[in-house]
Amino acid sequence: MIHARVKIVLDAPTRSFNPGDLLAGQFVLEGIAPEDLRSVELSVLWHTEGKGEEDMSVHFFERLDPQNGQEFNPLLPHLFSTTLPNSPLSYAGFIVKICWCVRVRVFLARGKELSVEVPFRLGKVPQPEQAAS
Amino acid sequence: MKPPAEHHEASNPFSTRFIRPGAVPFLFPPEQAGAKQDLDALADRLSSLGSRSQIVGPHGSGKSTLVRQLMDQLAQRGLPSYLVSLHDGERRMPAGWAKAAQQMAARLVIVDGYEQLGAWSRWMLKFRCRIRGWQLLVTAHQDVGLPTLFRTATDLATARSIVAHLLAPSDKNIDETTIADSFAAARGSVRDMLFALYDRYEQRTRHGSS
Amino acid sequence: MARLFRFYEKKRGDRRTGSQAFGNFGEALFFGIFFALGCIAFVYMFAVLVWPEWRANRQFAPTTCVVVAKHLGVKAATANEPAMYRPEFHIRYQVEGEPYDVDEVYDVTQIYLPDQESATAILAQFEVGQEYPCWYDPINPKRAVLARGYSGWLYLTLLIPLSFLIIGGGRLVYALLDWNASAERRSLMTQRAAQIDLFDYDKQDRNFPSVPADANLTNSPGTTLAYRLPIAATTGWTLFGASAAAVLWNGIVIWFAIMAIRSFALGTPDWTLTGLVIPFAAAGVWLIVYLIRQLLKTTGVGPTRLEISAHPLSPGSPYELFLSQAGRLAMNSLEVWLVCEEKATYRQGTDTRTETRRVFGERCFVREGFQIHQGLPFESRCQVRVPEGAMHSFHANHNEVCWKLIVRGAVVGWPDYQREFQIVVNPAVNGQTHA
Repeated sequence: MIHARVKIVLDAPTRSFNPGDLLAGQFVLEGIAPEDLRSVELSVLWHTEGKGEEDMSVHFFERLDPQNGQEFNPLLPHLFSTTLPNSPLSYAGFIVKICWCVRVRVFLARGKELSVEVPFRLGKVPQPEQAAS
Repeated sequence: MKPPAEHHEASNPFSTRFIRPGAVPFLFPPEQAGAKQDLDALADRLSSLGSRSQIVGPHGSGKSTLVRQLMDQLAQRGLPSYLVSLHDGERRMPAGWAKAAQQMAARLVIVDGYEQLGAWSRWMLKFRCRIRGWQLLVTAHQDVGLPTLFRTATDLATARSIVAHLLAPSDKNIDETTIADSFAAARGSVRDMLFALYDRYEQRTRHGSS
Repeated sequence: MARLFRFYEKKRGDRRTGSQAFGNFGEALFFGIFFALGCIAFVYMFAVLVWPEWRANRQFAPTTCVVVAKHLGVKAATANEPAMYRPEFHIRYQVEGEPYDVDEVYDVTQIYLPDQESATAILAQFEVGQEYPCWYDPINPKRAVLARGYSGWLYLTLLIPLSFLIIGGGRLVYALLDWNASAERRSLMTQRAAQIDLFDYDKQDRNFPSVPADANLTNSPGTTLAYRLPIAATTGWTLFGASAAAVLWNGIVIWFAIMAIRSFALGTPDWTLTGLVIPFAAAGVWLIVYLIRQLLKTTGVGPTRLEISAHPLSPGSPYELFLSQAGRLAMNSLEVWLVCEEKATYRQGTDTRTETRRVFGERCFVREGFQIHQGLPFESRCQVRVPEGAMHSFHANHNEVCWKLIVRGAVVGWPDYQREFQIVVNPAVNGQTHA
């Protein structure tokens, strides 16, 4: 339990995708005893960063709940894949940024939680330059 | 929340998601006159103050942040609390708050931004808390006449510690002078300072040091 | 105590808290009384003034009468009010062969005037024993008048109950709506909406999630090109609000001002009232000035029309624009800009703030030093192109990337004006962009 960690690996090492591409990968739980595991949630989502309050939307979601009889072996890698949408594209603006990521949230015994995410890029929108009005 | 180690390439450590109350830890000032000041001591003091208490401090001094951490501390002691955050001229408690607090078996009701409430709503809040046997903790910019649990204040050292917490050790985009200047310009409001540092960070990461 | 609490909590329904219910009840009661007072006063004034005058003008039948006697009616002075006067005539007339003798006749309102001279002047217009035209009520022939018409400024007094009625009624409706929509219900709706946002991507017909729909932008066909773009911010509501506020406020102020002036005219100046009226009158003047400025801004420059060849836009593709500027203007310059702005909304303490940052701006069209003649709008075409690789339009609860076309005009001897037209830019095909 002390060294509990989640390792997410995407099949595309560049972590750069275009809309409509297949995002595929796997995650592995390490150092977690099966009896301590309650459930695992995998999300492919975008969220905003910047000066505004955070907005987010989940594109792909999978909940693995071995406690409720769902088949999931925490000792084996779990594969996932989803076709990426056309928008919103990753964006690194001045006060609005759009960030895509794969996030795995692990719910453990005694209310403990572990969350790991791997960012990736959707599209190739360059950083904007400050505009003259 | 600290910006994750593997963050997005254009991530700004002063983004709202990293500096919102609950994401940045509340940093207690150095101990004064031997009075121990930490969350544990604060939780002890809260129970000794009785049914009502207040956290007082100026704008951007960390009241909301402190409240959220105190809630976690109290939850660990088996004292669930219910938080109501009031914004933008909300003169009344949100409808259903009492029922929600009851459902989560709260023993403490926390109202962040108490001065937003009108006199009638304040009276009703106290009345309901008394009837239900809930302890009431409020935050306000000015003393609202309740026993004071804690007075938040800011100083440059605290501001520097918060910035250090947000920045990766290798990140040299914000130097000590910039922090001091931004803190002075924000007139002591850490929140305003962090918003200003967001812009400075953007400028420096895009165009290099200026 | 438990019973008492239960009473408080449950009385307004099982999802209401006591404080909220009492707050709503108090608010509804207060504005309900406000509204009721407005209704009563309005109905009373309507019954006493508007309806009788309308009937006298439209429904009373003409005949002739003989003035038998005339005298000055006097309403004795009281501690609060000086003496008031009105002309009173005793007339005799016939309706379908039946004679009628009616006293205390003049007009239908039978209002007393503060000015004795005015009343005497009216009396002097009629000679006892002479015949004059008069009008009688066909429903009640005993009711007749020697003069018809409308009481002009008296109608301004209707603004007082009308303002009570509008303010009270509006707030009452708001309070009742707020009452009916419990926070639980609102919260439930928010949760459901959030769930839909999170998980309904697959159900969406739209190809571009988080890109705003362009339905409102393409529902107006253009006369020259495919679509006429709607102007982003309409000043109509501002004008309406400013007009309503100016009329209501000044109506009330005029009423009190008349009372104050009357007190001076009667030699019993009411300094307290005068002192109160002055700041209110100043605010009224400010409202009128504001209204005039808004009117000039809106109507001084004629309508601007912008049409586009296709919508939504795609980065890298050229689109044709058609610009039309009407009015009678000597233009220093007229420009069309394509801009992109980021908007972020955040809470800072108790405030909610929105920050905007312009990240792209390109002038697509400029024309300098020319005249626009009345009835002959300036018209021109130009091209617009969102750069390849540019960010698409994006809309979320607290963050936005929005594209717009801005028409800027610099007019000789007139403040510069700017009109904004929202557009939607879709992501580049397959996200392939070239910076």
